[in-house]
Amino acid sequence: MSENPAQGDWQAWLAEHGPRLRLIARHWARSDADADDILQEAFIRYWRHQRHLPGDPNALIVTSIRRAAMDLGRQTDRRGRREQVVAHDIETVTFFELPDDGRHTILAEAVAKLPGDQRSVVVLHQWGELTFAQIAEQLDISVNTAASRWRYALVNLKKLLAETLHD
Amino acid sequence: MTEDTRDIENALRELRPRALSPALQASIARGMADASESKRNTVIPFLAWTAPLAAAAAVAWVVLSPSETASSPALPGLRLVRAEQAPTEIALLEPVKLDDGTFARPMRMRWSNAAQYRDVKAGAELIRYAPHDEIIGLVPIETY
Repeated sequence: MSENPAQGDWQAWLAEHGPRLRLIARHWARSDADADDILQEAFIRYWRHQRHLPGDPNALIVTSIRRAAMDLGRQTDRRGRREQVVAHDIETVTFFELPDDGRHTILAEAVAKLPGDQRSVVVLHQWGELTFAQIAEQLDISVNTAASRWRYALVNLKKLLAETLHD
Repeated sequence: MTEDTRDIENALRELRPRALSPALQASIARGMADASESKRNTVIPFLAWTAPLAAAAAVAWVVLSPSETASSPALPGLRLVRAEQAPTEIALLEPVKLDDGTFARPMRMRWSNAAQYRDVKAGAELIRYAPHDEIIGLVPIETY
């Protein structure tokens, strides 16, 4: 996200960055509907009040998404944990535009099988475009931990792909 | 990243996030329109309580802060014939990031004092002009 989001109209900005931001929202949400609500809340809040703030705009909107997800999670908890989906049940194949070649589908399914802490780093680094230092800040972990989770995730993905292809 | 995992990283890059649904785009457009309407409706109430607060703060600052020209000191041989203070300007500047990671807008106050003295014997006049430009505080910005 290199351009200054203060310039240009919000539709063009959302068209370019919306898909990957929604993927981040979906990672932190319990359902697709919740992810849509989170992205809408976070984007409007960011665009109206935060895009002029100094600092990395990408980190700001990811923070806004995380806060919106936490707020919605708390509200959902108060409603009695209806429709709760635990992290390991997330179907990550719905996150992506998958071509009909099978290979990408296998990789998307492998991402879903990663431990939650590793998947968070993968999502934030690969599609959130955050540095390990920014991920460390988001997840309240050390930079070294963020980097090592990324490395473990890659190794695990390679192993999962090999197992799937072997079967 | 090692050579062993470079292919995995490249493959991850090929996974494209799903596009936003038309329903979500429409919902965000409605939300943006509502936010604009809401913002228009809240500007006046916001100013209604912040403007008097800022004005009161400015008056208090000018009255309480030590100022050479506010009291228009007597100068030997000169008679004070006029003293005035220009209207105070208060402005919220661009946001800054503080050391603790939070954001705030500096509040700047500008005003000036002017005093005119006359030397009756010499028939000369002295005008003493004292502009002030100070950051008087920080207004925190709530971020989520």
